[in-house]
Amino acid sequence: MRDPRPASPVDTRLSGVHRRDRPAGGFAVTDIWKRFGALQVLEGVSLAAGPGEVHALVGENGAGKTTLVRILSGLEQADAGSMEVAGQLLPAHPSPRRAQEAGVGLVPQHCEVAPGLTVLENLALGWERARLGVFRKEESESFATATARRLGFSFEWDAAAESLGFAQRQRLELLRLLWRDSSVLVLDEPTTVLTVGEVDALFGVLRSLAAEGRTVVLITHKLEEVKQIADAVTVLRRGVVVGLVSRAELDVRELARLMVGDVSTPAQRGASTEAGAPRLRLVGIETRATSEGARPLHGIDLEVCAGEIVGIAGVEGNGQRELCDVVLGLRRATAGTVELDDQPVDRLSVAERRTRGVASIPADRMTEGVNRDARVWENIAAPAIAGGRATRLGTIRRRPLRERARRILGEMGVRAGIDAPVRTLSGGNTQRLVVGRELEEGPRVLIAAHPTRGVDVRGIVFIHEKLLDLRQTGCAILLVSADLDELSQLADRVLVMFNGRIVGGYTPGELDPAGIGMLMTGARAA
Amino acid sequence: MSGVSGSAVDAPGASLGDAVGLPERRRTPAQAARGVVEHAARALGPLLLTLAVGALVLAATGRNPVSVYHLYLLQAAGSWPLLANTFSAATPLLLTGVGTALAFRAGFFNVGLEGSVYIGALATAWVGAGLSGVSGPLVASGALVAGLAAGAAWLLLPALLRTYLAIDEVVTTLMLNYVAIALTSYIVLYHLLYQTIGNAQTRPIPQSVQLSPLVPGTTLTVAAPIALVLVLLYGWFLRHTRLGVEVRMVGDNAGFAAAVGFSIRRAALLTMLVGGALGGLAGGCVVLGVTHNFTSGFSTQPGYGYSGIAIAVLGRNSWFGVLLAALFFGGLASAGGVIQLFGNVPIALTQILQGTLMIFAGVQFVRFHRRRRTLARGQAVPAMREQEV
Repeated sequence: MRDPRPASPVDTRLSGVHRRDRPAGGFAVTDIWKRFGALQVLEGVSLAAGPGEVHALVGENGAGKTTLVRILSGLEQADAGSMEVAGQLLPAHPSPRRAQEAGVGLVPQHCEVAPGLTVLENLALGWERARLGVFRKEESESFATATARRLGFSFEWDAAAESLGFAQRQRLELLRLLWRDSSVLVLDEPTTVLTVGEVDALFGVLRSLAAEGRTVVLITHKLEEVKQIADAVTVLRRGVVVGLVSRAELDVRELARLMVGDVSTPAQRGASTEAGAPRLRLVGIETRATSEGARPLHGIDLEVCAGEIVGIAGVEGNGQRELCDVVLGLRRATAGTVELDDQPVDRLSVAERRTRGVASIPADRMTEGVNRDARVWENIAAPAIAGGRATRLGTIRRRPLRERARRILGEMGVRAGIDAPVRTLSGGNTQRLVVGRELEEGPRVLIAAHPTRGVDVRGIVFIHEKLLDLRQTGCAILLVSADLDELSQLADRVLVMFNGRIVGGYTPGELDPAGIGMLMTGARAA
Repeated sequence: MSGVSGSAVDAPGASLGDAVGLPERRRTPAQAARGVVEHAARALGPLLLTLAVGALVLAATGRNPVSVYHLYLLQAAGSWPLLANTFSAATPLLLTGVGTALAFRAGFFNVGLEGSVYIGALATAWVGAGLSGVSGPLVASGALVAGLAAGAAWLLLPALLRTYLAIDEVVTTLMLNYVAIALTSYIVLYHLLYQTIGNAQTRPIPQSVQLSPLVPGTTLTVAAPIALVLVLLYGWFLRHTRLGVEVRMVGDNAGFAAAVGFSIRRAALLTMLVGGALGGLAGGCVVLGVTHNFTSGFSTQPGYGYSGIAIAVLGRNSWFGVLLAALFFGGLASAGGVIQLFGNVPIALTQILQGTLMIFAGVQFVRFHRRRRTLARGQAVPAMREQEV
């Protein structure tokens, strides 16, 4: 078979990093069992995919998808079962390195970079092209550039890695797999933070990688995506494979039924209520760029009324995060004012703004949404404690706080103890915890940034219903989302951000996706 | 012992109370046991390694490690007076340990308690020997408060620099230690000199102002129970008060803490100033209870404040860990002198043990510090936003 990979000036001469004799992809895991404490996560799961195949792995939060691929990648150890990659048996408990060397590459859901290193150093980390222990920067860079160009990516190789936005981090992860010449590419919910155009681009890349003979495993919640790209689908429910469907017999409704057991109806927007008085108003907000790469905001004017959901659309990194920070009080504006109920609040702290009814579901729940080291109940109680609403003479009234945490977990359907460290919760449950906490105190203004990112179908419906209920009660909601469908379903009107400015707006149904895409990419002003 | 310490250092946020008091913890016994063993290994690892290094040194110099260690144990805890001496030696270490742990717990690397110890000791000695015509205990209290306030004031500048200008507190607090040592020497020599026996000394504290021994023939004074209560209070504070939760949340994840409304500035100021106050109190307790004057350069080998850093790191910032580590250091210090006299073991061995323990603590410190850098540069960026304003 002709080697489909483009010749590169460097690889064969170097240190065995790039093995040209690697057979094409394909893997099989057989009868995998895994238990975490009392919880049986995987019960005899088998999954196989051949070279050139794009295989989707779908299931609700907690179904065991991530655990399965972490076992394949050597990040977790199976209790029982066997794994084979490219026809070669892996040891029962391969180290991550061993799994990588066998050809398994994982793009995790939360892409991390090593701070303090450049983008190129991050790419090479652990698999440096070196001669006599000296990193070969020039050769590495030319190979990286060539590979990146092939995938349609572009990177500033010498930039600090932590300055990369989420989508770029993800592309870097994907590139890293090619750097290692992985034959089995596993992507854990790669599209959750991408815009429509970015998803299409990613899928194009995945298709071409599969065409090279690699195997692509895609974990996702989005069944439309499955339909778009997968050759076959394995459905996992509570640790058991409940379906294996090939492309020919693929039916989205049937998949959804397999996944959740019962198909929930999508949230219906409540009747449009009369918008009330303005709750949140931003006038001429300007912020400056900061050393850590914050995008400056320019002349942001914005008003959200009681009972209104205003959506913010845009490619991530165009100032949405900074906008949320300004409203919450984490970032001060250099010009302009923020008003709550017609009162300027520029000088108020986060705690004071929260006391006035501001709540926030942050975009990055793992770092800003929760303290992973603290217990569930403390995480839920944190805003109330910080605002002094749950204390008596400076001491915490634990009993009511713990009761409340227990109630919120029940309401949000999170199966966890209130004393468990948040670290032990799944991503979806963590998000439910954050949403439950932020809605609990009956906010007057809610900042919801990507509230359903990484949440399963049932969870999305649930969170959407919560937001709509809140809107009915007269809360003003600022909804930032990369998911245009979500914005259309929920928002009364949508503003589009580009390059730190609001460049246009639309009411759902008024613009077609192409028009919105033009606004989001700065190709057109409204 | 190891089991208890394991669950007690179940940091962060967890401590003994929750581990035993609350039935709804959903951990299987196996998990819990593994957690305990893991924590115990991490907490006791440096200690065991230190003893192993000491054993090598002893064996290499032709002594029997087992019998020497046995001698240490006897001298540190073999009788009530000896135990009292251990507690007495541990008293300032409990204070500096908990004062350092407080700032570390909030993620601020206040290593300036050595300076606070000197400044606080001098303030206490000055007030304690200078006031006359007032009742002794009243003067003693006033002197300790003066030490406390001076210790806190000493760290005000680095605390403000850290809080408002984001200037690295490690450098400022560390450097100020040397300033404090030199400054107190200067003041004693040129302004408060009473006599010079080896080192310059201030006027002795009158008998009525001195803290009297609780156990006759030892230096165990009321300072020991005070220090013990403060250590317990630290554990309670972290779990049961709003400010304590603030300290923990800021220390665990500053970005989260800022987003839910905790104040990073307040946590920094509070922990650094209270830490300084505890350092000053430690110095004051030594002056009133042990030395009865201020002697320049009194806190050496390895220094109460520096030992506090090792104790906080070894104790992993938990009250129980600090307690154990301080007692261990106290035992070494109180046994070391006697053993030199009777056991044919040079004091150098005690210093080797102390030094080795500091090195292993340093290793943990560096690991911790690296994590913090990661936080500061990567994840905790939002926390820094507040400080840029």
